[in-house]
Amino acid sequence: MKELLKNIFMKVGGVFSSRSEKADSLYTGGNPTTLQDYNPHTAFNSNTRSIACPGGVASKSLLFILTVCLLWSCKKDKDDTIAVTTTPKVSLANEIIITSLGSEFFIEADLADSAGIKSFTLRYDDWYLYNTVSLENIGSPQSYHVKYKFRMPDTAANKTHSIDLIATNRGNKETMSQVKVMLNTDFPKMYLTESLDPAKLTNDLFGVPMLIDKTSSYNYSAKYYSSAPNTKIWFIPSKTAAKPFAYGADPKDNSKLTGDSKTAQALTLPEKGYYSITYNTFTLSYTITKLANPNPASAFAQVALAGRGFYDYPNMEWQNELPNIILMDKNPDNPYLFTKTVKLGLPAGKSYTDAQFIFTTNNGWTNFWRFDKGSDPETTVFNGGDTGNGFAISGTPVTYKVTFDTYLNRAKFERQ
Amino acid sequence: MKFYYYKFLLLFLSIVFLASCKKDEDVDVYRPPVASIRFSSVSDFIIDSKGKNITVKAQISSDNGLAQVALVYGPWNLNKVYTSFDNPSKFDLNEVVTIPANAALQIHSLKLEVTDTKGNKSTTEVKVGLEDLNYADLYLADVTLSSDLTKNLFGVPVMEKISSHTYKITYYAKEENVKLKFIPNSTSFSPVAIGSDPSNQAKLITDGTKSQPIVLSKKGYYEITVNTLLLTYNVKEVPATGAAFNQVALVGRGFYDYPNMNWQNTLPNIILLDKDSTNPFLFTKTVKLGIPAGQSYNTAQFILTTNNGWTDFWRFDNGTLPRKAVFNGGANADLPITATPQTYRFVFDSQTGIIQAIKQ
Repeated sequence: MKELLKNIFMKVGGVFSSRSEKADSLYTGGNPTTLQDYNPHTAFNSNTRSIACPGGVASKSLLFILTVCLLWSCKKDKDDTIAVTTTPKVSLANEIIITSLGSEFFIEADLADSAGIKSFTLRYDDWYLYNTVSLENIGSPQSYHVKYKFRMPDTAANKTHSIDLIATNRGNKETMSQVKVMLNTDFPKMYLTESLDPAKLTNDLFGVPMLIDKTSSYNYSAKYYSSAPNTKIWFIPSKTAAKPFAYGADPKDNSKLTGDSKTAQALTLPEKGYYSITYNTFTLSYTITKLANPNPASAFAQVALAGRGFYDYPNMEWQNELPNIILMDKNPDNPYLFTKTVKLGLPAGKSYTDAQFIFTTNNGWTNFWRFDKGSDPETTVFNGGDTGNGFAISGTPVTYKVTFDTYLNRAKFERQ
Repeated sequence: MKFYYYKFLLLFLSIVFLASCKKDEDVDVYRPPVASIRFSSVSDFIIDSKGKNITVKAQISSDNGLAQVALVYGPWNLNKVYTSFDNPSKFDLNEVVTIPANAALQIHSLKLEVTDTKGNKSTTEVKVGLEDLNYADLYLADVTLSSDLTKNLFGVPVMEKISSHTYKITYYAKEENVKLKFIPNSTSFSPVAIGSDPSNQAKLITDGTKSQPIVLSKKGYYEITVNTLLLTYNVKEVPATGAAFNQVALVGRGFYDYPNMNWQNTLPNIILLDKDSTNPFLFTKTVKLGIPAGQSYNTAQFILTTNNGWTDFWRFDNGTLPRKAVFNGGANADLPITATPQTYRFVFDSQTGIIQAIKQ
């Protein structure tokens, strides 16, 4: 009897000390959990262990019954591991999956092992994924096709997510294969920004962040004027948000970019002047090249705003010469760069409701810039494009700093 | 005494029994074993060409101290093992690996297996994709015999390359259960013919001797996209768009049974095609290409018109090696012929520009 008790203690102790055995035991009770239902709450909370034990008679027979009950209840905890020489074979349908936030995708694989596959486990700690699906209730098959549906979290980081698929055979031998899940980073547009602060991204009439070129699938190319040494820049595919996608230097390897806004470090343009930056959002390689200064002789002598809706210029209404245009200030270091602080607002006595404007060279209607899109401009278009228009104004003026880079064909109106 | 012994034993066993039955409710089984080995900055996915050197990087840290770091991949005979560490709690792997010149055309999963001093193991993978699979052209083979690949004057349909490793086509399945493979060489299924893995239908493989065709179960239009890097594909049924032309005609010269036909654009010196009874965009006609009696030219030249003069027509992407029809653009087909006529069945899909002229 003492020997029996000792055995029972050891067994019970064993059950409590082993997590994996515990998980296994839950699936050995003949619980009809459907294999299609991969909800871990359903799978692991199954109440397979409710055992009705008779009681009430304190006697040898009761002791016997209790002992049998106890043994029976603990029997399922017993490891049914067998000695095997094989290891499971895992054949993934897709090693790499590219998807988008909130989209569903499948992890599919063929598992095979002549010894029988006891279970498979999906694990990815970043997403708190740890789910073991027992195959013992279908007889630990020699082959099994896994088809497991996921939904890419709306908050998933823009990095490679490595999900482990582990097959375990009846000898507890395991094989792990990993599925790498990535977000689609072939963005239709990309912008350059000097700040990831969302308030700064939306504090403009237009032009911040600055549109750059997409040269081919995943490849982007920017030209930018660094107005001071050590200008910090990032790239973002959204005009108004820097999360979850922001491309900057990878802090672990600054020869590469990372597109994860949580870790991306600013790229630095060390000197004042024009730079070319190219990069690939798939390979995350990038180049930064300082460009020669453009020929100063090719810059226009003057650039002016022509149009209407400038609060301090009540008489300005689409004339093309002084005093009813607004001459901008030429940057002393860069003859292609012009700035001016203006107020957009409805001048006294006027009844129109929007500001409209183009840039001219103060040369009548010869040599001017309109925009790629009148009401939501991203680039200026020399001697072409649409008139900037539809910018709602009221009797309360709003002050903007206007910056126009005639070399890059980019203009911005930043609220002051 | 014996009675008390039983009583005690009964109580004890009951406690043990209850405890044994209770544990299923309380133990948190969702929690995975604690990872004492951690990976960061892993080169998750490297793309390069066969024969090139790649650098596999990973930062590995271990609470218990590292015992062994191994980078292994059987198919490449790769088995690089580190057992001595300057700092046993941290190791930066920076391993140059050559992609073998004979590497299989697939994604390769190099395993990085780490063991700590307490015997805990942890594994991650570095995937290597091949630039070699970034073909200039990919063709949709809708025939099963390799001899049929060259039976068609225009070859099997060429897909549009929409980005690196990515190809797309709109295709009309003329019948149920059309079988497809994707081939980079329009005249051969060897060595590469991309199709599904016989042991895993959801997986694409490149080996032409093993791959199985992808089956379009229904008749109709499909949009088919293939990614040769990830070896994934997508097939979706799509409706035809726009209005079909009433008529389509072959216009040109070199049609053996039409000796007077020489680039006129009206009947009777054009060849009207037959409109398919179920698909108004599909036109077919069986014609003979050959030098008609009394003519001295030795090439057949043609375009397709809508029997509307020179308005609304199709020429071809390439005159001497035409692969598809181009609406209101392209070049005239210009193909050698002899005095011995050869019969072809022309099948033209005015929706997709896919044209076939199958040798009869």
